[in-house]
Amino acid sequence: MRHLIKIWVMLGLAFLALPLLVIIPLSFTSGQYMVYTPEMVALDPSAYSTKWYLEVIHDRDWILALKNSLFIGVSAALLSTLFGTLAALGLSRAGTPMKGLWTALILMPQIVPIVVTAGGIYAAFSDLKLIGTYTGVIIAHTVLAAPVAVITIRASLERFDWDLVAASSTLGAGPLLTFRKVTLPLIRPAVIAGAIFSFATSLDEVVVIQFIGAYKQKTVPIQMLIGLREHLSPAILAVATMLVFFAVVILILSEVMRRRSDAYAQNTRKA
Amino acid sequence: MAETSLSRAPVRTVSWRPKPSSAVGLCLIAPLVLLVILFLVLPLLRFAFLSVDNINVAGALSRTAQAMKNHPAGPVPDDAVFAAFGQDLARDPEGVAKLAARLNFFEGGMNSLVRKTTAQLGKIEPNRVGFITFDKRWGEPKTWRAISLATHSVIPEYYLNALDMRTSDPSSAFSIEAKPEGQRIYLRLWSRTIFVALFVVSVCTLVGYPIAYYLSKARGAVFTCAMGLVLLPFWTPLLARIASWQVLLESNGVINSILVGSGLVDAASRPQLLNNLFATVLVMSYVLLPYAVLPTYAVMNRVQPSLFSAALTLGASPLRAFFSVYLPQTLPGVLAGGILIFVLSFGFYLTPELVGGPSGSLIGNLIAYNFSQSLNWGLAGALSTMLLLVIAAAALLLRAVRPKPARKA
Repeated sequence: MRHLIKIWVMLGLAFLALPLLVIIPLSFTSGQYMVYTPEMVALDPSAYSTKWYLEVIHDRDWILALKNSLFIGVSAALLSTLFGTLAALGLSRAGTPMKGLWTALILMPQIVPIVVTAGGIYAAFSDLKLIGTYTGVIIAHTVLAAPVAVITIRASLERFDWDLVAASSTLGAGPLLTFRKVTLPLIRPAVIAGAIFSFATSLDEVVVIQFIGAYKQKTVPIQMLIGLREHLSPAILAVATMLVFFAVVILILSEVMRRRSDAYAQNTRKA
Repeated sequence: MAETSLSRAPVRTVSWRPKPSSAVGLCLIAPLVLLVILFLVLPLLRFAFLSVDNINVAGALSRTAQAMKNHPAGPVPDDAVFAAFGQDLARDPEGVAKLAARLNFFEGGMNSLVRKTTAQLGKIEPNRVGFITFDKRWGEPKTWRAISLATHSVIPEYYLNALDMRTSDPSSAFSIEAKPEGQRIYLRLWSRTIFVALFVVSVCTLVGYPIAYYLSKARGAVFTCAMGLVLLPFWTPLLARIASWQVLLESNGVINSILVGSGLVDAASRPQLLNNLFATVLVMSYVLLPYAVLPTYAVMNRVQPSLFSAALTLGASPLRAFFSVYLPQTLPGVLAGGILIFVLSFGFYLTPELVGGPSGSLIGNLIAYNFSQSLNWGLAGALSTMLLLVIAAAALLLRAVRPKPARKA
């Protein structure tokens, strides 16, 4: 029984990991198609090359997509972290009324199906003349990414010692100085993690951009979508592999931030 | 340790806390809440409004509506109504363009019929015979069913269409009939979406529960590795995951190559793994599996292991101890994960679009189709509103079973 469960668990973990691992060697193919050739299976060095990676980093479309993803992602991450930090502080304060309602509203973009959101935003943006503009895409991504920032930052505020804020104001610091010198340093790891997760959310978003963006705003996932629909070239796998490594980086960064956040919590408790 | 707690105690007692003002908290929340209201809540409300709204079109038909009221007739009206309809067509070209597009949603072919008639209006006698001579469709009851429907400012038609139904007699309220056999699409899509959602929930629970259990027992490097395997797909952008499944499932793809290479399957009869319902269910289960593992793991982490061993000591078989002690304790996590997966899979769009083909598409795909290709925003709005209602109901259920946030001792 115990062994059967263990085998089942291993199969489950393999199901999670294998699809991502399968594409990594394939992205280094020297062939034209996304199939493992007999030479690749035999580990013949000539069957492998980095040509698809070179193609991606020299291709005008991919470069534009990468620039757009960075610009839109960073802008949306900054905005959603700013709004998200404020909202998380407001939601964590004692005395804020109707917290349940505000939380539900703020988390709504996570629950409403993305295709419904995309339709609604398209309809709203066509009145506001925001279709096909960077402003429009950044606003939409800010709304979509903010819940992630709020959840991350609020989790760290749950362990926050509000006596420190009270102490700071008793000692004569105004609210802004208190925030800058007391609150922010303590929640900084969570704020950084929130910004990273917001960026990842924006980088992952395709459906809304597909509805409201123009060619000019095409991002990496949009370029992948075009590739998946039209011509299956191993270049997509090179990009997908880079994105898997991006996910690894995010995982490690978020773990580092979580440990730091824990360390801060421990320190404040000891102090 | 004792020192610190001693030195801390007096601080606690004299700590001065200003009475927290509600205004500051609200001001901090306001920017984000306003953003969400402006760019999500209001657009969704407008969508809901579009799904019943017919004011502009009804306005373009005002004279026809008046004439219909004064001269009630059979399925095809009399001369007075035809004359009024002719005046309406001549009166407001912009309104007529909207009217033609709208009528086409109620009855196929109406768009071209109205446009053609409007263009030639001068040559048509403004009476019943004149219109029918110009095009015999003006003498058909279904044409006038659509026009009569369009004279109302608020219409339930899109909601009925979303359930493969329609108004049979627009002059009387609540006369509803099923659409003819060949035009039914949506009921099949709704039931398919529910079936897929439930199926994905069961797959994810069956695969996810043991993984969560394993994670809650694992320590050190084993834990880090296993948790990494769960979180890696979770953080990998969706399109990269879909791309890898396309590589695996293609007819020349990795799985088929292995099947053919190992001689299990003849090269000519490779199974079709992509662009069908199977691919939709498989890839959706893959995408949503972490949502089953993580909440269950969080709950398992807080379960007292002593209770399970107590049950064993008291003579319960491991199986009995599992079903009557461990499972009930971890059930909130399973339910939370299950409902979350149900909610998320109900609105899936991109995955079925890319791996599902026609037989694997879901209600989300029809929303996108009606919105951006058929430009039938009313029907897209009705489908969206119904989808949101299902999801809201499930989300309320989720709130009821959500495990309390973990507290570190």
